[in-house]
Amino acid sequence: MSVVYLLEAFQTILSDPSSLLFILTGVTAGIIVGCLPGLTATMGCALLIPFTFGLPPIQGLLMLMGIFTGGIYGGSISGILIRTPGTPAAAATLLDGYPMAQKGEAGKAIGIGTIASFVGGTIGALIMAFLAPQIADFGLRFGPPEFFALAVFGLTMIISISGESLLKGAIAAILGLLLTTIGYDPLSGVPRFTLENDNLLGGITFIPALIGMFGFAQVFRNIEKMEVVPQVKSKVGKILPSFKEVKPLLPTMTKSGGMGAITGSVPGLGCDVAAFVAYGEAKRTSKKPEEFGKGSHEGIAAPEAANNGATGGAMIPMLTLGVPGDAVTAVLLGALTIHGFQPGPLLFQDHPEIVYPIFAGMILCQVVLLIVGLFGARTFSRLINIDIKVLTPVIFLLCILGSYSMRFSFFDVGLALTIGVFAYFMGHFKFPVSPILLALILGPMAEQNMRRSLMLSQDDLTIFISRPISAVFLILAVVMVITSYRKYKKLQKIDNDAKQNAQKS
Amino acid sequence: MDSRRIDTGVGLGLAVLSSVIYFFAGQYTAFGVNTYGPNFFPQLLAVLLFICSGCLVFNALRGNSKAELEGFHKGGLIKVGVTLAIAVLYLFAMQLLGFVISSMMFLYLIMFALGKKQHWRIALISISVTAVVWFIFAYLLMIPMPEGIFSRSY
Repeated sequence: MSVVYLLEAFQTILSDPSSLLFILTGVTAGIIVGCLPGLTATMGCALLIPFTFGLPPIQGLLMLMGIFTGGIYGGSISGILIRTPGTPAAAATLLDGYPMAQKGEAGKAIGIGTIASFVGGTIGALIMAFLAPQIADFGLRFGPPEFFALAVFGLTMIISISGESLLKGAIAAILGLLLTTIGYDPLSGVPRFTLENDNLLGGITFIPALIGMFGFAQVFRNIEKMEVVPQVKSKVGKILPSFKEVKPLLPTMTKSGGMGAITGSVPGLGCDVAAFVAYGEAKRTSKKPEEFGKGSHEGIAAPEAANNGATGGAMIPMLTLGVPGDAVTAVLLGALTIHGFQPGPLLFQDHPEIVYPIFAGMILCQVVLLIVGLFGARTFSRLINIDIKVLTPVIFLLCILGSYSMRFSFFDVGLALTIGVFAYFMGHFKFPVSPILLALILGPMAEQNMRRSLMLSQDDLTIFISRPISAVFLILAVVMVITSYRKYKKLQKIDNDAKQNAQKS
Repeated sequence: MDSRRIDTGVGLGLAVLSSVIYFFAGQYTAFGVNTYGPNFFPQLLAVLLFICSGCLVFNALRGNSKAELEGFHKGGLIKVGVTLAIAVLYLFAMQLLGFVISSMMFLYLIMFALGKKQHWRIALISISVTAVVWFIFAYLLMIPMPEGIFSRSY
């Protein structure tokens, strides 16, 4: 059944040239934002969402898919050329990409990365298209207690991978959850923490918060670093690798794409973890593991296939259960909501006309990515050389306009600027920002479903553990916290031992 | 940067914040709602925040917070402050002078503050970027841009 829907969706998109144009625009814009160091894919999506407001839903969503796909891929270009990953997902790519660039093969490295992104991304998109409807079917069995437990599970996953300090990740997540309580309480209608400001009655608007955390904060960071870090210039050679060079990489690309999709589908893991997992696996199974880190073709193919495969994977929990896989999918979830669609199992039942074009669009994005990536690599790599003192003010202006254009409100711009300043200082004090973003998505889901469950059970808290699915999610959440705490302690011990050894020697 | 002092300060600040939140959230009551009303979730979060901030202070005082904090670069921080001030002025200017004029001034001033000194070049960039952005937002996306005193009255 889903194959028929998928084919219909392809027909819908391909019969309307404007849809293809929006995919092309999205992919190109995504690559541009992704390849500029200091602009992450999350920031790119946040900045470019306002451009989709005026579009019909399908076209707007197709453009967003393009931005997402292009953004993740684009990060590798600057990683290969100047050893600065445009996005965290490209951090594994530079391990072998940059050594290749030093050998004068930057173009070839970008070419291999592009083909790997296409193969991995297509596999990820196909896995998403066939797995998501099954998970959504399963999700239909969920009631309020299950959704509450799922939100808790999602949050613990995110905290556990949120950087150097679990505690700081948890604090960030709680602050994010508290932000979601501002405005009318959805169940009783009581206004909370609005400080008698009418602009806050509807709560903290998602886009300004997003642009504040990922746009303004990054702009401030770039401005501060401009003083200390000089801009690096880059050069590209021949782009297209020969078929003889690509053929032996195909099995690695296929395997890494699949692994990426599976890793990306676990809430909290995301594209960057997927890339490192695939890189490690490729090195382990490679016939030439000694070449890794010195410009191995496999070392570029594996993480690139995995991080683009993970884009499809990360969409699975977001679309089917309303739980974002990582920060970028959290942005996409917010964008879907702005376009009037609430991700979750009911989306598949109520709006198949939206879901299947998303799947088909994701696959088409990969094809467009291959074409734009191979033919435009030279142009994109020139963008890295744009004077940062010109680029930063332009991004600053786009951030201001982005936060204004949601409700045409200057209050929203002020709010985004304030959040941006907070996020900038949080970055300095090593508090991760991503948990806040995910808490903004998961907070209302957690609160509303918790209180609905307690209404159902007449205040009996055991409802959360007496229902099997909810109990499993809560147990998984506890296991997650314990294991990540142990891992954190172990890493701390290794770090301390290393420091002591260094002192002794 | 001394992470211990920062973490202690942030922890204490958050502890105060959580207490204020707990107090204010206690005032949110609704009729016809079960025990877990609009106050419950924020109060629960306030308690969790208080515990976490306590742990942060405790860790810092015991010398466990060893994460290397990013130091502030003084010159950079001043530039951040200056650009932020320009952005705030821009918001007011946009309401008065409209998008086009204020944006050109904003871009010019920020580029100048960041160290671009070729006046003609940055003026040209400011005008062209504003024109492109206006065309995309106002013309293609049909987003009503602020017109300030130049707004047309119908």
